[in-house]
Amino acid sequence: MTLGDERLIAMYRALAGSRRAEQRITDLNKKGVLRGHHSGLGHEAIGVGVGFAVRPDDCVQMSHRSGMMLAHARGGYSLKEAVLSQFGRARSHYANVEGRPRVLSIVGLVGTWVPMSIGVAMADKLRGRDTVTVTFFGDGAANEGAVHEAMNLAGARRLPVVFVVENNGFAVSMPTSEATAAEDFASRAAGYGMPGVSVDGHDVLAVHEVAEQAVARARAGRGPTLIEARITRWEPHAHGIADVRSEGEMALARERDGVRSFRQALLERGILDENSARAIEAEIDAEIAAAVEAGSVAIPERPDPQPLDRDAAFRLAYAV
Amino acid sequence: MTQSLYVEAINRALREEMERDPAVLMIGLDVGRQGGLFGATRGLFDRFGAERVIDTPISEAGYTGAAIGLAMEGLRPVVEMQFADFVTVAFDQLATVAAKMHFMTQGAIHVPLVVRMPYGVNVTGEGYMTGAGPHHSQSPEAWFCHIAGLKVVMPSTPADALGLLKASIRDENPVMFFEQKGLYYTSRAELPEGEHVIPLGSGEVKRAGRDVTVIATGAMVQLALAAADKLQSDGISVEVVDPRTLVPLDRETLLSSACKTGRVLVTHEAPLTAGFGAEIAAVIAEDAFRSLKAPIRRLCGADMPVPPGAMVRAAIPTRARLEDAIRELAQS
Repeated sequence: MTLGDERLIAMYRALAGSRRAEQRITDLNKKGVLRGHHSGLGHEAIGVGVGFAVRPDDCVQMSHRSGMMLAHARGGYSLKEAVLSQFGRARSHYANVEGRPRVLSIVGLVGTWVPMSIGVAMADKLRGRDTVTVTFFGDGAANEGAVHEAMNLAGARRLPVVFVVENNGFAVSMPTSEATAAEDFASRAAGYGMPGVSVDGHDVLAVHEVAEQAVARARAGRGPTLIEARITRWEPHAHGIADVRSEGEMALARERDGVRSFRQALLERGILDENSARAIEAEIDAEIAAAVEAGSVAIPERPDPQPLDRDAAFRLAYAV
Repeated sequence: MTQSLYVEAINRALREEMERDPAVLMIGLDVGRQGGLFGATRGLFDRFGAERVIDTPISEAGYTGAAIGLAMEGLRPVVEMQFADFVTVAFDQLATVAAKMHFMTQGAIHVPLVVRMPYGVNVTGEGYMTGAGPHHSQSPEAWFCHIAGLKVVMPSTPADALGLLKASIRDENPVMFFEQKGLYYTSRAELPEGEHVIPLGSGEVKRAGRDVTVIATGAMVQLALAAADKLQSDGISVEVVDPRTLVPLDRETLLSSACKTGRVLVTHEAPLTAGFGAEIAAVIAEDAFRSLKAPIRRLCGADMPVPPGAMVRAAIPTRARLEDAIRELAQS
């Protein structure tokens, strides 16, 4: 499907916003202002490409890598909120919040979160909805047993699910080439009776196209699809963890820049000119700067933590 | 009045809850056309159809995780773990996802999930499941008591199975429901007419006595009652207490019995070390110590994998050993 100019510009706005917010958050982590971020730099085109292919009532389970971009691209989640949530001052993109597109929680163990997306798809199907569930995970998680079980269930029951593997080549330090003998992850789909497609994760239009096809197929009741988005990880696995790659290898990874190439393509096609691109970027930067300023206002000294109310904690844990 | 088997009580609870609430679903291995390996879901597939009685491939993590997703969407799935032992494959889903979701979302998301856990051996020593070996006979209830967020229920009679399963299905967060599978076809009793729901967290004195309190779970309750009958003629009056739910635990019922008799024996099928009996002993030692006339005793499974065949009876408490232990405690 060909996208209209307006849609392409909106896509660029989401891409540039994601990149610039992500860059700022990553930098603030490096400076020690923020702590514990899993940088998604380099992954922007995946989040934006898929984000533009789903409806607000579709259920998306986002990974720790491209989740912020996805939420932003789907709408209802501003860059201001994205930045403020890093300061603990806004709801994260993982939470279902009224007015925002529908999301599904993840947990702290990769791969473990995938089977619950199957249940969501089953629930929607039971209720006769035409919604689709999209679940994201990385190349590391893709080797977890729970992910295989989930994909097999989705295939066997022809569920409206789209699996997106963000293959950035490394699970912390483990290269994909050592983690599996398979040439790619997309070919695994055949084992579950679903189509598998491998796409350049830096190419937002390519990601968008395969995502649209997979979502349409799922919505039409024709079952799940596995999408592998091949990408380079620009930063170490998480803030504070050294990367096993050399500086040269890291620089090489950063050469693959889906935001820059999309900007260039829009300029060449005359959809954007340099001035209007810069205007968009200036707006974005102003929003991010304001959010960082608001987030950085000193947090008032907290009093010593109150003694734990064990009964209240028990009630919350057990829902009693 | 007709008598019902333990397995029939479970079946009735499932059927009544499915009739009452269209959100209730069955999911697991062979729960549909087969009616469950032990027959607990018999007739449900014909009555409610494949949409609500869902057969799955062998993939415990997959279908347990899917059930969690269904529960998060407001349905009320009842997972049948074909054998409680198989839960190891699904452990991550229960411990990492189901148990913590309500807490981590500050109560925004409930997980009204029941996992039915056919556990243990047929302690009568006759007929089915007397010695199904290390991978089909375990009593893994204590594993789950240590995971905050999971309720743990263990009915010992058909009526308790009926009432507690209905309460578990209506609960708003995950419940591990331990069905003593040796009782399925050996325990038979009259069931209450009409609606019968037993609130979770209520223990019960199954037999009143003066001299010794036996705190027992599952099939051990039946053995304790039989032992109590026998000892009555020797002049030893035994009180039998069944906590019925381990989490939340009805401490008051346990403590008041301990204070009354001053002598407490705890018994379960599961291995002794770090079994739930240790928790019960600790509760009594902490809050009823001054009422005790003798040290708390435990008679539990041996610290070994459940052996196959007839050897199993050497590894779990029997009525004879229970009688000896009670007699010894009464005289100490």
